[in-house]
Formats: sequence, structure tokens, C-alpha cells
Amino acid sequence: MKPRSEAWFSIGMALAVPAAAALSIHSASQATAAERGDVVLRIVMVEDEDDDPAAAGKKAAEMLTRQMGDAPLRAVIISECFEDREFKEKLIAGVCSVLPKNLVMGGATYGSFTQEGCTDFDSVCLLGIGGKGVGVSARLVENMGTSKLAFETDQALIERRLHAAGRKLAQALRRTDRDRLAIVIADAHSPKNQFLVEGMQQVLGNDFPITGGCANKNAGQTFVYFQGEMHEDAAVALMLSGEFRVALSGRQANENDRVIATAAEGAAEALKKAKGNPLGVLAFNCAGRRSKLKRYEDELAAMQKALGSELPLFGCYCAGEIGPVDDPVAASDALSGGSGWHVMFTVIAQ
Amino acid sequence: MKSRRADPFSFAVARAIEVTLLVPWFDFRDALLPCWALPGCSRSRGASDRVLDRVAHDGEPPRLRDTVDQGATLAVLALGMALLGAWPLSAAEPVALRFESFCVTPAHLPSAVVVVANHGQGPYQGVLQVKAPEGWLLSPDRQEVALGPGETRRVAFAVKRGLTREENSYLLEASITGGGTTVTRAQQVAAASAPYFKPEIDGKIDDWGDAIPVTWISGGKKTVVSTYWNRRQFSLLVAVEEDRLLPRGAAPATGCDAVQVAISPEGAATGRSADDEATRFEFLFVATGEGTGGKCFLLAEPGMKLGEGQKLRPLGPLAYDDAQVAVSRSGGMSYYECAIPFKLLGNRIRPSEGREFRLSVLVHDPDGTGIRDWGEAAGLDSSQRNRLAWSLWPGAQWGDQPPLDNKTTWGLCSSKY
Repeated sequence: MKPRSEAWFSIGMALAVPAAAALSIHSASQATAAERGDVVLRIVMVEDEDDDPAAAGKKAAEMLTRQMGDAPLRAVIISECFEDREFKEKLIAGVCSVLPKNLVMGGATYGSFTQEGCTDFDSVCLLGIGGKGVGVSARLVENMGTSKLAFETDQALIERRLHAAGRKLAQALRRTDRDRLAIVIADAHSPKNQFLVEGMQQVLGNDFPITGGCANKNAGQTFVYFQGEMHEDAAVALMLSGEFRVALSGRQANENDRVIATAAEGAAEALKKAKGNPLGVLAFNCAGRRSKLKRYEDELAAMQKALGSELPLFGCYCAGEIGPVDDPVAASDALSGGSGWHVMFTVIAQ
Repeated sequence: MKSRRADPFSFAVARAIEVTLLVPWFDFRDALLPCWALPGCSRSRGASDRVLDRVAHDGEPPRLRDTVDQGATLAVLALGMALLGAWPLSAAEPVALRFESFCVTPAHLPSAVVVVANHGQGPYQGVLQVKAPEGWLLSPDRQEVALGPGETRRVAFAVKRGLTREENSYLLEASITGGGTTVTRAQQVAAASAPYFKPEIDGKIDDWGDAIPVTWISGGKKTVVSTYWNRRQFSLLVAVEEDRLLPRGAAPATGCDAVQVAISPEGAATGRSADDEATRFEFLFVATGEGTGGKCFLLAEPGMKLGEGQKLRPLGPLAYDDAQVAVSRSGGMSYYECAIPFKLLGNRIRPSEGREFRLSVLVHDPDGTGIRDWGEAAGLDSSQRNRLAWSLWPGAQWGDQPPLDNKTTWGLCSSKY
């Protein structure tokens, strides 16, 4: 690995590929000299009860800043569920009034959950990734050309374009020998997400840990965030590298009792597989699973039974999930895939 | 999985008692009541009879005009859906099978839900199997089912791989084997789901291209229902193929055209006694005859006594002006564009992605096909005819039999893309 300065950052360039004429890539990285030391994961969640998304964003960012303490911030992943571009813009502006804009990545979701509870409308959740033991390289691919294509009429085109987008995204990520986890947030509603993951795997390999979720697909709400800017028909990937390990699990269900049971099973499996001291958990969950619950809190309670109630938990409700696909009838040799009705857990341990 | 008792014999007795009890409530002097609401009624010629006559005289079914971007294939498939929608239970069959509509499109991996009804007097045990279209994968593809006498149960098969078709019609087959007998049911199943969108209710239909339309043919005429939702409203576009649009008040002798919609939370059931409480919100949409003007009436809300809906109440006091309505006419189609605020529904049906609820639609076409009932195309069976499921209203022309129940599966989804 090349030696790098404490705060290394770059803005990349646009590239063109034949499959999608205007496919473009942007990059940003935050890395440490040797990515040695602690990894710090902190999560905050704020519900806007005053119809003031900017204030909610600012409040969340200030809370995160306090919680990160002295740990150098490498990236912030945002999950927000405000309605319409106008309010989303205000929220992001509020977040970026406190946090460095170039570190803010993420997407519009259907809500979030943490150890504090579950939210849906008018809420924002921030995951702060920091510490000297972690480096982050982030890339954005735009103009994937698939957001308005329907599976029934354009499956082959979707496959080709998302394979290309996935490859470009993975190729653009800064690679090190300490790469541990790729987090993807994309406008690639399940089942399209499988093709994006396959494209990334063509570069990263089938056994590289990839997790993530797909942005809210409600009309007019579909945005991914990169360096504090809103993008449509796009995907963002963060490559986390450093002195830590990850353990992934995925479970699928679409009925109340099974949603609750699989949440517990998946969380327990990821925690059991984790080597070292667990630092935090990412849970990319399906909004459809949530809709099958009689009470949203029941699924979270099941996760907490397995994870405990102290481990930082960043959860969001998505339109498609990325991680180990739970499909015994169509098993894959790839560690991760894209699907729906899943909760995808990643335990980060050191 | 949910279950409920459904003994047709008991229902029939209960219905006979209810009719008797309800008679004193009606004012027969002015009311145009359906014959099935009156004691001692005899069958009269209804819309279906008229259509059969027309087909016989012309020698071929009426030609369908394609005005809502649906192909001829769709019309044929929809006709098949309607025909196959008839409940196949015969006296010799121990159980009846029916598929519910999908709550999301097959590519988004819904469950194929089979409703199994044991209409027998004794317990039933069998193995239920589902055959999906080519290229689909179900898990499991068979399940054991045990039912008590009169019990009905929903059995879900997860679609692990499904292919969405533009015509939104999928042929599935369920078969159950038990006690040495196999009962098979083939049914065209639609995805009945409302994507998130904020349409303008303005009498123009160009906002509706991202909906997931369900189509059925009744009396040789096409009806297409498209739905959307957002945090504030649930919206419908009901496209009715008909020769002319009869606004409210235009032709008192023949009644007026209208669309009647019932919306209920998941798990709600329709009572069989006039004293039972309604579980539905029920709306009537009519054209006013002035431009694209339309009017909404709130015929029922949860908690109302079901018997109340069987009275011929004046519509004026039932006007629901918080709903938006526009009714337009183009190319042989009448378009009812409506939006109902979730502030009315929201404490019963939470507006969120993946939410399941119950919905059905009646189209009133008194000078054409008569009543068109989505319940028939959705596969409800004749034992689910329930006059208490729909409210009577002045000016309506009802058929020989009461409509089917007002509860078919519907969903709120994020997007069809």
C-alpha cells in the first residue's frame, strides 16, 4: 500500500463506457497512513417533529460529531426518509452545515432503525465511520440507464448496463491489501440489484464481502448521496479497509413470524461468525419485510435479543438488499448477491 | 396464516333471517331496491342475460377498442381471467381452492396465496401443490393442509423467482389431494398493487403510466383499475369501456353510471348480520355532467351497522368533499380519476410500502353491462355473495344477485420498476 497523508482526498473524473453512453464515475477517499488503530462506529437517529428538515439534519450531524469524539471521521453514511426533493435537499444541507460535505454518502430509504428504535417518515440516521484503523474509498457511478427500465420488457438491457456499472464502480475503488468490506447504496430496486452486484464481483471476486441496500423507489424519492450531493440513476460504493474483520449473514422472509424469527437468526449468525471484539452492526433490511410486521418493534427486539442492546446498530429499510442471499433452492457460490425481502447483517469486529 | 369459518348453509339461513329482519327498514314507495334485497323476489333478466343475447344475435362478441394502452392480447387474457375466475367447487369436491391476487409484481417476489375452503361437514386433510408459470420458482411447491369442518385457510407459497408480464395476468394452478380425491383449480391471477405516485386529479390520464393496471371483461366490456398511493392520498383511475357516460341526474329513469369502491384493512371480514359492524370505507364516485366534474359520497365507514347500508339513504348528506374526483370521456372509455385522503383511512390502513389491505370495485353501467364486479375476476365464489357487503344508493340498478364480497387482496408497493 502506498503511504498516504492523514487526510487524503480526491475528486475524480468522468469516464465513459459503451454499455451506457453517459456512465460516469466520481471518487473520494479518506484513508490513514497505515490504517492502524481503533475503528470507531457511531450511530445517531433523529426524527423531525417540527417540519424542519434542515434543523433535523443539523441536529443529527452535531450529535454524531459529539459521539465521534477525537476519532478522525472517514465517512458518514446517511439513511433518510423525508418526502420530496425539496425537503431532502434541506436535510442534506443541514447535515453538511456541520459535517464535511465530501464525507457524506448514502441514500434515501424507507426509514431507519438503531438500538434506540425504528423510524419511518421524516427521519434521518447517520453512521459515522472513523478512527485510525479504517480507511474509506468511495466512488459514485452515475447515469446507469436503468432506473426507468422495467424487468418484464428490458431485463437483458438492465443486466448489461448494471453489469457495466458494477464493474466500473469496483474498478474505480481504491484497492489495498487490507480491503475488508464494500458497502453499496444504489438505485437498483430488487431484482435489479443482483446484476449490479454481479458486475462488482467481476472485479472484486465472488467471495469478497459486499453489503448494502437500494434506495427508496417511490416516485420522486429515489436519490443516492455522494459528497453531500443528490444523484439519480446512480450507485455509490464505499470500500472499507483496515485492521478489522467482517462477518455477514442474510435472511429472507415475508410473513410476520418469519420476519421476526429470521431477524434473530441472521443477527445471531453474523455475531457468531465475527472474529474479535464486535464494534458495530450494519443491517440493510427490506421495507417489505417491515410491512408484514404487526409491530415494527418486534423485529428490532428479535435482533436485540441476539446482538444485545449496546452494540452500535445502523439499520435502514431498503428497496432491495445486498449481502448473502438466503435462497436454498438457488444457491450461489458467491458470498453476496442482490435480492429482496432480506435483512443483511454485517458485524464489524476488531 | 389466518382462518375463518365459512359454512354456506349457515350463511344461507342467516341471510334469510336478515332479509326478513331488514324488510321493515325499507321505504318501498320510492326506493328502487334490487330484487335480492326484497322478500320473495324472482329472477329477472339482468345485464349478463342481455350480454348473452347480444353475443348470440351478433354471432361474435363485441369488439373491444384499445384506448388505455392495452393490447388485444390483454383483452383476451383478461376475458380468460374472468371466465376462469368462477369458483369450481362442485357437490363432489370436498374443498374449494382460489388464488388471491399478488400484492407486488412477480419480479418483486410476492407470495402465491391459495385460499382453501373446506365446505364439508367433516375434517379435511390433504397436500396442496401449486404449479406456477414457466420460469418461476416457488418455495415450497407443496404443503400439507388440515382443515376443520367449514374452515377456510390462506396458504402462502413464496415466489423465489417470478417473471413479470406486461399484461399483468398469470396462469397458476393449485391442486389438493386428500381422501383419495384431487381438486384442481387453474386461475389467471393479477398483481393488484398501487405504486407510490402523486397523480394530478385533473381528468387527464397521462399520470397513470407507472401504475399496475388490472383488467377484466364483463359483459363484453373492459374495465381497467389502476391505483397509486402516497403519504396523503390513495388514488384510483377506473377506466370503463361503455357506449356513453350517464352523469348523476341525467336520466333518472335508468339511473346513472358510477364506480363504487370498498377499502378495508387486512384481516377485516364482512359480517353476515345487519347488526354487524361494517369494516370498510365505501365510496361512490359519479360524474356531475359539468366538464370533468365528479362527486364522491362516503357510503360506509368502519363501525357503521351493516343494515344501515341497506337503506336507501339520500346521497346529499353523504357527500365527501375531501376526496378529489374528475370524470372524463375519451375514445369509448369513461375515466373516473379519484383520490381519497389517508387522513380518513390512515388509522386503519397505514400508508407504507408493502402494506396489504382489501379492496374491491363495482362499476355501475345501467344502460350497458349492468354491474361489473372485480370480485368475480379476482376469483371470489358464489358463496361469497353478500348483499351486506355493498351499500344501496338511490339510482343504482342492481342485478339479479347481490354482488360478491368487497374484500379482495390489494397492496401498496414502491414502484413497478
